[in-house]
Amino acid sequence: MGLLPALQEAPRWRERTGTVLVSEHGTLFRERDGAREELGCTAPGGTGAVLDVALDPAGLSFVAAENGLFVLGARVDVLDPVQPLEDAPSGTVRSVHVDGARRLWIATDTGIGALDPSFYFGRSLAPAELPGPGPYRVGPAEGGGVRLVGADSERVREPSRAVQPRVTALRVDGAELAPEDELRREPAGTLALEPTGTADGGTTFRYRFDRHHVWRALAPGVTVPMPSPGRHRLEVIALDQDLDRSEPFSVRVNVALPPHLDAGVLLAAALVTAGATLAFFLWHQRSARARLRPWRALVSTALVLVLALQVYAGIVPHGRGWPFMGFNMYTRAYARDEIIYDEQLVVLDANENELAVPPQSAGFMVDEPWEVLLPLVNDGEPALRAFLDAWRKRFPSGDARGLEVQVRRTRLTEHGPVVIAPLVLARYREADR
Amino acid sequence: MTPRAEAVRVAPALDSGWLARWEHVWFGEASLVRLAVFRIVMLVAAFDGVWLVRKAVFQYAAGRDPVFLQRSWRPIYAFELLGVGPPGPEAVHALWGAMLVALVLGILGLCTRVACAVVAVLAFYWIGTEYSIGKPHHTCVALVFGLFALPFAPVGARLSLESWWRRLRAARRGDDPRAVPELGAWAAFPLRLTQLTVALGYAFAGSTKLAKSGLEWINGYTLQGIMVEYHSSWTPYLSENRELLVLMSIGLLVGQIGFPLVFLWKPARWFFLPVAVLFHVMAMQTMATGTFLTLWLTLVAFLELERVPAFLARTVGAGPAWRQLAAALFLGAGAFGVVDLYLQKKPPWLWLPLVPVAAAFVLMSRPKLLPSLELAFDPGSARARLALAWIGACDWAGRIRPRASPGAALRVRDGAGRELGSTQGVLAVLARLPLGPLIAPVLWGLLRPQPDPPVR
Repeated sequence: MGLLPALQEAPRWRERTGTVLVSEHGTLFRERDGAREELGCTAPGGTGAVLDVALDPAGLSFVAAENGLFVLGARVDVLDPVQPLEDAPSGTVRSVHVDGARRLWIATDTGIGALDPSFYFGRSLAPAELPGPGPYRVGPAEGGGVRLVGADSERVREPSRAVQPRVTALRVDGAELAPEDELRREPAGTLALEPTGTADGGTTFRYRFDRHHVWRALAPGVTVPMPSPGRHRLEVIALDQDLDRSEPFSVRVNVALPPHLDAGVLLAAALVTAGATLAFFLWHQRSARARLRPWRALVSTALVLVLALQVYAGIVPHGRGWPFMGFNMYTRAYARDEIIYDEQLVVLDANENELAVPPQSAGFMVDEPWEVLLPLVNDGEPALRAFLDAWRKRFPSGDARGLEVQVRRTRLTEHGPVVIAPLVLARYREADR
Repeated sequence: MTPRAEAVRVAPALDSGWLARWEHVWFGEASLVRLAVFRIVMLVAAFDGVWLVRKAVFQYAAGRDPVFLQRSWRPIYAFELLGVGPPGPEAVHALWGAMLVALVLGILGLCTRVACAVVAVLAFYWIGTEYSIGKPHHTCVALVFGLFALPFAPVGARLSLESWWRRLRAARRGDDPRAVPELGAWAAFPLRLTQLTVALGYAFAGSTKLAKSGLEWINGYTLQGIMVEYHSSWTPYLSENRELLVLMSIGLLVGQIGFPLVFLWKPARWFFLPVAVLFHVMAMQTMATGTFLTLWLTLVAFLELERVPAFLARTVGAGPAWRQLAAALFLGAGAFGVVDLYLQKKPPWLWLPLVPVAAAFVLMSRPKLLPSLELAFDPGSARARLALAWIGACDWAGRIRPRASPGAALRVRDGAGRELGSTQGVLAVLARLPLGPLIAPVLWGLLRPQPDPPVR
């Protein structure tokens, strides 16, 4: 993998599913059961000549090509462009390599850096860490490191030997917090996060709320949006230039309900409305000499209140307002070329065959898939193994050997949806132990 | 002013003022049979609502979540306001048992109002508990409002053990057991509240899409994206064609936003109700929304259920053969589909109580199948009145026509006026009653010639 050997006839890469990628005259093919098929591409101009391919242990393939960096799924015959983000090296990616920790190393004419294989944020190595002038290439090194090759020299990088990054302090809105401190905030607005920390090659920070699987970038001086009303956990991590992560610095954030949902305000409004409605019914009853009996007037008042609250909830929805509910889901408009994400749990058998299974299949009823997927993504092997064990107890005849949390991705096009490479957020395989 | 003059003056205000209309709409008289069927359907839907989430509630109450499960108590707003917490490991079983008992009593119609009130409170707590550890859904919104409205109405007046018991008491008192109320005040109340809740739900679901995204929502990519994100069995077939998706998006918005038109023009129900059902079927098959069966079932609030027998007789039981067949296939397939969806993930024996219901529908649909019988009876005979009470309570398809014949013994005549022998007569009557096999021993004793029991 990695370095494309010069003067090789047709470089080949065997994928974990047994298929083979073949680069011939700069074009990438996939050989399956002896048949060769050219791969498609969602980018309008195609990939251009293929320069290098790196295989990810989770089954993805990263392809460096003239027109940029691309990703390919093991069961998807379409390449999709990858846009390296943040501090990733700029320029045409000429060489790629995925190390054992699933860091995607990319090399351009001017730099080398590591990318996250799912969210594509990256860091460039400091000039002092580079093997002289470029152009550069990357590849595997003996002992699990990364071989960095420059125009006239090369060196081996061993990210595992670096000191673990650390978040040393966190200031929120100017106040320094200790771990597990609780913040109380009004709804809406922003939080100004100012972390400090230590990491090799300089520190970058990322944050998330409520153990979300995406760690968002935390640029200096940029505030982050206030989470929705309720109790939340805010975590900040530090990353070094190899994308190694620190332990999270965790604090609690309690966001108040907006005034229109405040219990006191709502109760007062309900009482005033009920009183006025009841008075109105009783007064009108007298003036019209109709015989709306007091019991019916009371029920009518309650009815008006219930219907008014239903309308109110429809206009100002609150996600947990059941049974007075408005609508947030399915209300956003999607656009052409947008990527749709659909998370799924995949059981792997001995032959790497994938079986998508519902998160409930381990015997625990869940309403929201992430209730199971988040622990699997965040807690890694212990949680993944526990799920697999529970699943095998329920389905002992299955030949389950591994488990992956994948996010199936689909691009919306005029001619229908096109499935592209999934994200692999967590992976456990017994043979890997 | 004399009382009569006063009454004359007030009458127009009562008949035409807004207060009178309000009275009429909410508390006016409506069919008690319709209310009774609605009660049964709502309680059957409530069972579906609580059954489907029971596992999550039991597991959470047991407090033995594994390491790969991260769920926490995030109470719905109502629970937060009321300070309600989750049930404990013992309480959850008591709660479930009480709810099942109340559901059965409510469906059978015994202590009906109390049972409906208990179901409303417990189902609200049960479903709210599941939503407090998961995510609130729209499936049970109309159901919960409808359940809370049921106890306000005379829900046990018909199609209930209470009603059967009242017939028996009337028979023993010497009154006519056939004299049951057809209409009742407040009977429309639960129906109207459910209707309005359903209509508001659909209207806001559609209008929020427009308010948030404008007409961009119908660009075809939105529906394509939703189908892909919530991948389901029909997604591959329907998500390919963007023009079709645009049309479906328009249809969806028209169906949702236009739904309240059912109140302005009654025939609009013939359009919007099938569109609503179609919408849920499509959502289930393309967006993995689940069946939304509780919401489907609450749509019966819009149907004039007391007219179902006549409707079936008219559409399936009369007219050209091809139309009868088409109507039978369409309605039969629809009914089978709903029952099949309902019974999925439930105990298999639950189809048993549906057998008499299906028999009733068959009888209603085919008036020529087991045609009506005339039952001549002596109103002065306690035994005859008791027999009529039992028959009246179980003759859901209206196949037995009692005819008072003072002094005469009980006699059964067929449509041609031929008198049937006693055994043949009893069997003929039983065959026409959907609950015939259940009440056969009683009716056998009452309809067979015997010495008249002493009148109490």
